[in-house]
Order: sequence, then structure tokens, then C-alpha cells
Amino acid sequence: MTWLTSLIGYAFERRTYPVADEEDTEKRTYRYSILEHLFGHPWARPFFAFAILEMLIWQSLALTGYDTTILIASGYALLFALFSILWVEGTLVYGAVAFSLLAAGAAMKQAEVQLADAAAVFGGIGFGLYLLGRVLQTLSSRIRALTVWLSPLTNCGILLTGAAVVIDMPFVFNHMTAAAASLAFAGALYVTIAYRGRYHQLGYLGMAFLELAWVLLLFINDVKQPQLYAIPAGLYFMGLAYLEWQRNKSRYSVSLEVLGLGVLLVTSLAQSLSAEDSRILFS
Amino acid sequence: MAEGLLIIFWGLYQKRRIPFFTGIGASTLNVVAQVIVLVSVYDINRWFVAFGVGLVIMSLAIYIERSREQLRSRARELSETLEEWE
Repeated sequence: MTWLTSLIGYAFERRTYPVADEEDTEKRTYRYSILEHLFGHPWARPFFAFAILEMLIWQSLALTGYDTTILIASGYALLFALFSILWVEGTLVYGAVAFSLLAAGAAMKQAEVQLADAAAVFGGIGFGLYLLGRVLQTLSSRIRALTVWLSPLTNCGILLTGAAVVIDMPFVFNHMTAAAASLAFAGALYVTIAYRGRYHQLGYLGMAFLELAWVLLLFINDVKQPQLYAIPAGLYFMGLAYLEWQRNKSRYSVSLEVLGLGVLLVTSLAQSLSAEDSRILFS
Repeated sequence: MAEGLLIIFWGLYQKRRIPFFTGIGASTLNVVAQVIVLVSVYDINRWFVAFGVGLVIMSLAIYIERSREQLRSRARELSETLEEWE
């Protein structure tokens, strides 16, 4: 029903705008192009208004059941996607993503996935959205309407991965795998964005997330060698110091280097002093 | 130990004093620590260890004594090189 109402509205919206004179046209112009599409045409206006109302009502009613939530939300996600292509409107991509996430969330709730695990899955979806954006970027040279998808998909990816990390951090001791996965997704995404856009500080943050994910994975697998934790951390700080030194020879880079050297060498010294582990170092 | 040596090479490659000297310091500390662990933890006669350490010190002293001039010029070269490093 919503699809039908929206498509009838679109059919009217495609027709010539009925205006008396030039001044009238300017008076009716909305500030945002999406509002202009929705409410600019007097015949299309009621259809789109009803379509929005229907969306709110049907989706609210559908929330009472998992299957209905998934079905209705998927339908609306497709509708938003279709109109974002038809109108070349980036704002609608957010709607498509939001309804897709609602459907995914309902599916996970139905499968009784725990909150921490669900957050990690959403982090993965966020990373996937960013990758989808990159795929669409290559296709956008042929299909121009897809160019408006790139920025919303990237923004959604950043938001989702960041939110997944924030949600999973309080559960880090009980759900380590989920926390490691969300950190890895966020880290990989930030490193990729930093590499493409040359945002060095975002790159450092991304690498820190990846390092944390690595440490958590070692902990999950009950690895007790301190050096396996210290070497990546030390190399990370030394890598940062090297890059900062290349950029500008500041005290900040020197302190980072000292920190990296400290983590790397003090840990190995401490481990070598441990009787149990010193045998490993000698061998 | 391996990390200490790698850091010395890193310092050499980058021509930077901080990693170079930190690597040397860490390697020395590691050797000393290992000697201490060897004596205090493992069932090795400490006189053998003391003899080994004494032998190393004596060899060093003999080497320094025999090639003092050569070492002096090498040390001067090294300090000049290190002054150029960052």
C-alpha cells in the first residue's frame, strides 16, 4: 500500500509543475531538495504525506512481531533505495540503511543473539556498508545516480562501527570475541579511510583498535607469553614514532619512540628474568 | 635479546641515537640478567660462571691494552659519526 501510494505520488511529481508565474515558483521552493521532491508538487504532496504516515503506522504495528518487522522494514528499505536512485537523493540512503538495520536487528533478536554479539554484527555491517560504498564508487561512473550513495554509506559505516565499539566495551570481560570483532571492524575501517584520505591521526586510532583486537584474541586463546602482547604494541608505538618523525621531528615522536622501546624491551627483560620463560629465551 | 639487537640495527639504519643506545643498553642488561638467572635459578656451579665472566673481562682488557691507539682513533671516529646522528 505504501509502495503504491509512493509510486502514484512519484507519477504526479514527474509531471510538469503547475505554476502561475515565475514568482510563484520561487515561493514554493523548499530549502531542502528532498522536501521539494516530496511536497513541491501540489498533486504529489498528499500521496507522499500519506505514504510517510503509512510508514510510521505500519512499521509501528509491525514491531509487535519479528517476521512482520523484518518484512515491512525490508520493503521500506527497498522503497527508500528506489527513490534515492530515482531522485538522486543521498538523504534517502540513510532511510534505506536505517530500515535495513531494523530488519537485521529484528532477525538477530528473533535468533536470540545477545546484545554484545549483535553489536559486533552491526560493526561488521558498518564495515560492509563502507566496502559497498567503494564498489558503488566504481559503478557510479556508469550509473550517476549512485554517486549520492557514497557519502551516506561511509557515514553509516563510521557511525555503526564506532557505536559497536562503544556498546561492546562494557562487555569486554564477558564477551571478548564480540569486543575483539567490533574493535577489528572499526580499526580496519578507520585505517582504510585514513589511508584513502591521508588522515594520519585516524590511522593511528584504527591501528590502536586493531592492536587491542589482537591482544583480546591472544587473551581468548589463553596465550600467556607477555612478549606476544608487547611486540605488536611496541612496534605500533615505534611505527607511530617513525611516521611522526618523518612528518615533523617533534618531541611527541621522541616520546612515542621511548614508549615503544620501553614496552618492547622492558617486557622482554621482565620475561627473561622469569625462571619459567628464561629457558625459552636461551633456546 | 633479539629485540635489543634489532633495535640497535634500527638505530644504525635510521642514524638515530635514541634507539641505538637503548638497544645497546637493553642488550647489555639482558646479558647481565641472563647471567644472574643462570646463577640463581639453574643448577650450574657459580664458580664456572664467575670464571667465564672473569675470562671475558680479562680478554677485553688484553685486547684494549694491545690495540689502545687503534681503539682510540676508532672511538674518535665513532663519536664524530654519532654527533652527526639525530
